[in-house]
Amino acid sequence: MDNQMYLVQQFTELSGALTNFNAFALNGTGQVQNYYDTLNHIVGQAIVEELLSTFVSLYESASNHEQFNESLRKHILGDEKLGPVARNIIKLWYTGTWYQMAHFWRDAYGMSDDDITFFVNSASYAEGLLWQAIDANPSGAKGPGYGSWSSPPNIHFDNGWQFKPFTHASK
Amino acid sequence: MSDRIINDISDLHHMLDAAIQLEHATIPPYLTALYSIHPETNIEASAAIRAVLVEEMLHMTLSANVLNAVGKHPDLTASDFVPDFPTRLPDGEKDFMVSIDKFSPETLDTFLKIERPSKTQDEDNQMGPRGCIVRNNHAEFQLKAISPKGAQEYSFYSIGDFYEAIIEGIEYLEAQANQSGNTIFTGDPSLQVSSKYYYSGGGHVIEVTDKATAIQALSLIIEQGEGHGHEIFDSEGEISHYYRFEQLKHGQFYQLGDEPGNPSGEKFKVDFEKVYPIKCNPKLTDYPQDSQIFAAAKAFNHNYQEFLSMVNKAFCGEQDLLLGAVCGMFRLKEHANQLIRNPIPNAPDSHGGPTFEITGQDMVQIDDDRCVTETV
Repeated sequence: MDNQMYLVQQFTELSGALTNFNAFALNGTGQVQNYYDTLNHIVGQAIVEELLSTFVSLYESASNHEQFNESLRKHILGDEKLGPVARNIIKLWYTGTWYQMAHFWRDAYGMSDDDITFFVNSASYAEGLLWQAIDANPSGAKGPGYGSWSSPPNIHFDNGWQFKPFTHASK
Repeated sequence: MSDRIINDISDLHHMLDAAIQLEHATIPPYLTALYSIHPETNIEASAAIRAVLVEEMLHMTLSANVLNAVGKHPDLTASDFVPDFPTRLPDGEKDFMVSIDKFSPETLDTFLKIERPSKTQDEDNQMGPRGCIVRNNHAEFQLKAISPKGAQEYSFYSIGDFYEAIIEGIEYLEAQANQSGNTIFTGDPSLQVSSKYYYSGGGHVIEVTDKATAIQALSLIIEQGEGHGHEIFDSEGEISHYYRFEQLKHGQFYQLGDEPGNPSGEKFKVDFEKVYPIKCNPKLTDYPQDSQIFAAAKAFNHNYQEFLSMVNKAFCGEQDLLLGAVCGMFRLKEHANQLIRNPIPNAPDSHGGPTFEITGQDMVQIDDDRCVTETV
């Protein structure tokens, strides 16, 4: 596996931990590479690699899901630099939209003129995880079928992300 | 040996059963190729495949209407209804097989063969029934392969030839029946699927109650598929499936007045790289048993089977179910997309895809259970 593939894979795992959708569901949107590229383009490769390496070390040192979540909150979501980026990744996956980073973050770390609020591409809106989470069809984008609104939503969470304790053999 | 392929009503039933099976058999390959295309790329290729796919669903419904009109129900739940891919088509073309595969130049060639126009009479120098060619590899046809009774070695060259034989059979049988004051259109008209239940799906569905409407329905299938008499556009200005696909080879649209092989419309690009590398003719056994992709593929097959069972009921008098089936179709599409966009674990160069391994077993089970409950 080359370094690029490794980074995309780690990005997928981090996205899973942040959104609670597993790699199968994330790949299923067809957006993994697009979101990874967007993130790199806007916050820069150095911050992305810092975020991913922090994630990997947290993952490898946690022995269960609870412990992992605890350190994810503390060292990524609670971090002044990485926290806003991680929250933007959550919003990106759920809505297909890149939201402009907060002013304080832009002042401290931001350098991209492209950091504005935008849909990543025309498919990303419809692929937003929010639609899967509530089993609804993105308005005006995917066909629900006439009358589908009369049946109850069919929500199931069998595509949740799972923490698997790290072993060297699994790499 | 008779030149006629259909000599009695059971021949006609047999042919129409095969027609429904044939229309359905094209759906998994078209659907898989369509969804293998990366989102937002190959807009023209996607549009062409989607248009054809949707019309195949119309053709299936039209054939079911004709079969119901001549007194027999379709059976989409038969254990051999969904072919085991790669497969020959039920009308018996002997020179190619159809696969579940990604969109590629080879796939496009197969699609062109599926939709190819009938050979003109002078090209057709074989002896035997009209539209037929000699078939030597009989054993390879796992489906309800159709051939003239008493001339088993013949099969059809094109889907259009196959439908022409059905039309000929209907004309012959109806004329015979009329002579003794009868008709072959003895089916219950309330079984017909009308446009009330079938909407925006590749054209108007035709309710079949007599010879005229039967021929109208079958002619529409021929016209939308390969085109009548090698015409690129039909009387309504719609391009036939064959030429729709051929445009993708040329990277250029046909416009009215063009000659076959020389489109002169707008040019466009087809990018075969912007496609998920689906494993050709995937089977459940190709996926690790503990993987998400295995579970999803298994669930897809189950849902597809339920979907077919629902459509089958709709063709047997419960037309209301078609409205709900539309929602089921959108769900199936989402599930197929998910499979196709995921690499197979341990074989990351190949992506998954729906396997369409439908045995009909579960459906029988479901129906039996229901009967038992109802009896109790």
